[in-house]
Amino acid sequence: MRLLVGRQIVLSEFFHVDLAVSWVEQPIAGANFYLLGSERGYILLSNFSEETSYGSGFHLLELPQGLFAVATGFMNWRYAKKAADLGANVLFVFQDVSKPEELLLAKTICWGSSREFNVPIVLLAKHGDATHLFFCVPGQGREHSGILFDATSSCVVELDVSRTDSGKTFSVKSLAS
Amino acid sequence: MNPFSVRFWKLLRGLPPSRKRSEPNNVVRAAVLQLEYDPSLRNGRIFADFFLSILSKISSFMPHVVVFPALTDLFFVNGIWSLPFFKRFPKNGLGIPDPVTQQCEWFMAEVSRKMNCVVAFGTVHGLKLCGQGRFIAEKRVLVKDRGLALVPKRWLTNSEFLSSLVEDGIRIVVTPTSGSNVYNEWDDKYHFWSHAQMVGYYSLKATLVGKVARNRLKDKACVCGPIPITQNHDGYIVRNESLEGSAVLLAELDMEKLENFLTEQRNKFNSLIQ
Repeated sequence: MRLLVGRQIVLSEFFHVDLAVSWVEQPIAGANFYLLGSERGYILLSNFSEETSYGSGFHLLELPQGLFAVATGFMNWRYAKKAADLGANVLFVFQDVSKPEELLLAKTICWGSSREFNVPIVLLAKHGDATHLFFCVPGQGREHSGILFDATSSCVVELDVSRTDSGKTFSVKSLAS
Repeated sequence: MNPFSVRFWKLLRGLPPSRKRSEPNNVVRAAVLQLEYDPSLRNGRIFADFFLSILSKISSFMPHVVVFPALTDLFFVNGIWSLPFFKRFPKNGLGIPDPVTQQCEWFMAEVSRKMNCVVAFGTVHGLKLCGQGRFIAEKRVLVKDRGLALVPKRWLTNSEFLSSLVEDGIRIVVTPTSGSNVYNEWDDKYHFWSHAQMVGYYSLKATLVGKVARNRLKDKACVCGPIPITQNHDGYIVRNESLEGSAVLLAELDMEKLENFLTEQRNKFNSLIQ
């Protein structure tokens, strides 16, 4: 699946993505599904229907590309465990942070949980005027650190999760950042 | 008294007597060691000087908790053993005769009694915890009314297990360990640093480095805590920066800050799941 995390970034070449994940005030277009974080929780919009679903806390979303988990408010390792137990492909976390140390703590919890429960986690943390994007995929990234993306700019990735008898494997290709 | 005990008594006699501590009740003092195994310790005098200098540093800090690395008995082999009798006793793969391990255990128990503190360490027979001169079989003890648990490294990546410890009142997790030929910063962070953030406790890691049985062990001792309550907001109270050499890390653990952190985390999570 093709995933856009953050705001619209490509002008010259239009990327069509399966799922765009962002905060509600950041304009994005060109996706089949939109998962938007807001002060009250999350909103899921679809290009194929007028229906809108929303919620807060932990939820499981069923999309044509598989199951996805979303958690809003405050990251805890239990969310990652639940997402992995329920077979979610990715856990998206929307968190509002007021201090830099809270941001670092949220990133650390996401990274450790992603590796322990073998589930990719995308954190979209709002801190002041900036949105920090933190994308963890077990075994991927520089020196296999599990950290794929850690920045305030946006990224587009092709992410595939394959399940075998021995577990899950992840294949990630960065398309734009 | 046998010759080994005489050397131990000399070592212990060199320590300053236990003093009454006068710091606030919410502070737990911890001494965590990174020990480099050096083959030159085969000489009894060098061994005694090395250990005495380390114990003097620890003792002057008046710690409540002292954490030695895994395989601490390795240091006692060449330092105290009388070579002509070496082959008479059963040995394990590292060449540590059982009586040497027993002497090491006895010595650590004496250190805990003499310094009036809890001592955690490892030998070829596993990890041990002792306090006031006695071994603590359940590997858990109260230090200034706060729970301390001795946890092997392999359990440090199990959030459920660690959370159950914290729910049972454990606030300090101590782990004597040893380094490896290839040091991986991310693996180290994953075990000791990230789970202290995820679950919320102070993690004390003592480690063995140096040349052991054709291996060149590398590692870094550290004391970790949740990011918001560490001074530099990096999740480390103190960390040795070098992969080799011996070091004594001294840390004051503020238990009140940790309790406030845990209460805040619990309230935030509970408000979300209601």
